Amino acid sequence: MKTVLKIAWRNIWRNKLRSAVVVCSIFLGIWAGIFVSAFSFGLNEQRKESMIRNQISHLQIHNSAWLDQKEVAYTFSATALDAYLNKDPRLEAFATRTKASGMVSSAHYSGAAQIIGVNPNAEAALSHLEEKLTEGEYLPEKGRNPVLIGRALAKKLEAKIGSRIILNFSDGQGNIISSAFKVKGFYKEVSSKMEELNLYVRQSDLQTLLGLEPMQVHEIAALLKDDADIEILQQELQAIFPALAIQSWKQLSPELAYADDIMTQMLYIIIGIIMLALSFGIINTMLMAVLERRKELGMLMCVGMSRTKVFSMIMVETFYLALLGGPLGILFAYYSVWQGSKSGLDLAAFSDGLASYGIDSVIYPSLPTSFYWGTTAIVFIMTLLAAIYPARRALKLNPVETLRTI
Amino acid sequence: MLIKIAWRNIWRNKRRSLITMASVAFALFFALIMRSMQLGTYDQAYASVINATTGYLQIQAPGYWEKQSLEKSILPSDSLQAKLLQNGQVRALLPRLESFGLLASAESETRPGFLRGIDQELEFKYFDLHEKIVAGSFPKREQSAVVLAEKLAENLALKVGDSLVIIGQGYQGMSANGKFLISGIADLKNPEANKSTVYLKLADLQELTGAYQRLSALVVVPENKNDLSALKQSLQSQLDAQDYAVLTWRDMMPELIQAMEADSAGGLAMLFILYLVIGFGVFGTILMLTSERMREFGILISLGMSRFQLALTTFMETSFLGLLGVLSGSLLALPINWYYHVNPIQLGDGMDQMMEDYGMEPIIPFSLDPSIWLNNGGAILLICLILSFYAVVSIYRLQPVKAMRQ
Repeated sequence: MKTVLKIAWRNIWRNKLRSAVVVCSIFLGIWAGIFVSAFSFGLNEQRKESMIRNQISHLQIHNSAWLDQKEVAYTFSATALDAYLNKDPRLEAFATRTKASGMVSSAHYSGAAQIIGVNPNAEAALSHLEEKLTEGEYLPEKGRNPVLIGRALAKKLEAKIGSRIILNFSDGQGNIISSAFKVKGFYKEVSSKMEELNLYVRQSDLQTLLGLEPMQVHEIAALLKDDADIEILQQELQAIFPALAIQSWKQLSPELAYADDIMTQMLYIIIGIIMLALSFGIINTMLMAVLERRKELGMLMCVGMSRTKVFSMIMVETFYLALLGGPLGILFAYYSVWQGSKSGLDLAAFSDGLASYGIDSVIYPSLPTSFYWGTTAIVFIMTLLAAIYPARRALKLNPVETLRTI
Repeated sequence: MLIKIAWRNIWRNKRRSLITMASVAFALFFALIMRSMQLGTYDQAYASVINATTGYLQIQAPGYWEKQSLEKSILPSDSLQAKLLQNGQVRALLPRLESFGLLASAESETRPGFLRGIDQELEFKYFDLHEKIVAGSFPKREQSAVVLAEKLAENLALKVGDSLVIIGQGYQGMSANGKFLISGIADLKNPEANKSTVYLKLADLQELTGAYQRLSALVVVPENKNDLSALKQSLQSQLDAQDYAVLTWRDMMPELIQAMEADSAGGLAMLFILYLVIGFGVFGTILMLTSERMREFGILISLGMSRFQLALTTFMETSFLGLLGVLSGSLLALPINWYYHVNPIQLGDGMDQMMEDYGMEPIIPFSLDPSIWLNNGGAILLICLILSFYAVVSIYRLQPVKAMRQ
């Protein structure tokens, strides 16, 4: 066996250019394939993270009727839940919200509005609303009807800090409430659609206008410290509060959960296709290596080299080529993904489009370590499969005939 | 004669030629399926959005699109419209007035809605609006009634025959409140539009908002939708830039286009890697083909065949190889693309939600645009041609005597 390994090793250096072509194609294919995968994976992770942190949180709790119709009347009392969640050490943050959908108008513009009544401190901890401000100040404790609006909406309303805007919404009993609010600050969001739609007011102000009690809310959103606890907490809460609808981010945004689920499959498909293309090149090159050395292989067989040895020699040669190209490609890929995850790739050219997917224009590629192992396995399996055909061809050579040819 | 030699050369080593062709065919097959799917999806998304929202081209007041406020409406004279219609590229001009209001029903609560005042006859003729009705009908000539988008009607729990209350802000700060009979419900084939649109007769909306005779935009129906920028320029030259701006759907929806372009760029990156890998495979074949025939080339040159003729033959041989691969790849992909062009893939679980989030219908129709074939087939062929220069160069460098001694 040792001799076979040695002969195979020498054989691949006999035609350096040919071996180099195969090694290069494996190397570049793997490198580029992994990098593209890491890019898609990073993009998806970023989108998920941004959606969870900015919009949906890990868990949301609503009145169960709210799921069908988001009506003002479908509130629930948060007193018991508030006490329960406050004590739970698994929670990073949670906040109660009161919501109304209606219309915002100034002298210059009127448009759809989602009015979100928030508890300023809790919301700052949960969705980092305060950090999103670009101008003005955060919702103050005192003062009449303050409101935070998005930059995009401010532009349309031609509103400045301190401007008055009118919010119209229904109180759920057939009355339209029209109330003036004072713009305290502008916030920034990845998507300009959200900047246009969402307005943040103090929960207490909105509750007063809607005629609700202080703990009557439409939504509780919670963020957990550890992803693994999400479903456990969800079940616990559901058991204690059976009348409420408690949803995890996977139910709140099935498309996000779906994208998360199929991501790894997608990446393996990408690598699989690249490897399939690579194996065509490998089969061809190795087949040539066999046919070109007909005479020599025939001679080896004549002088007594067993067929198994000839077969394994060809397999080992192919394996060596993969051994040179594969790990090199994976190492380079690992390095460039690592570099990319530090500095990020700026896709400024697509920034508006990416924003409508809810992500920033700087993408940080990342990839779970298991994927590198998976790819390594695929590379070697595919290479060996590709080597079988040329190696079998070598076996089929008729030693006597090959010696006769020139 | 040379062509004949080249053709026969291909079949001298059938296996190698077939494997090379197979790798080229595989790459092209995959490229065609993927691009056809991607581009088909984009076309579908664009068509759906264009049809349900802006149309291909609009004439608006400068600055209208950023604000979308009634204050930036236009008052085009009949003579101006007649003049524009004389442009050979303009099939029709559709007047539209668009505004925003709170919608309410007797029982249910309020919801923000997008009011669109239209000239029914023209919208029927050029946007097939009447075909989108799923219940009831568009109002009769004398009738003053509205048509609701499907999802909106569902959210408001309204049916044909119910009445809809609109509370909005009119032109120059006037209040715009009214009550209308619902004469029909329409499925607009666009999730975003389906959630918010209310169709009114143009005159009704003008009266409601007090914007008498005024329009938000003139929607231009072009003769040829593929050359919008030329039409945009010729229209703009007919109009006073102070009062009118011409916008194509590309100007109005940059986010949509960028989102699609970002997605497309991902597909192109994948193709680039695939072509790279296949390129190495083809190069390997050419490398072997050249090296195994060195002796033969030497003899042919000594016998008096000019290097040019020899190089041309080899060049043709590799071109044929590429061409055959491209042809078989195209033939393989054609039935699949055709099938899914006629029967688009219907998306299920999770994916449909994702598509709807981006404002598209959850179907994937494949595109049969010949440019997909030309671009990808051309790219692969070009790669083969460039690589075959290796053979040409080695023929010119060849030293007959040395080569024959091998």
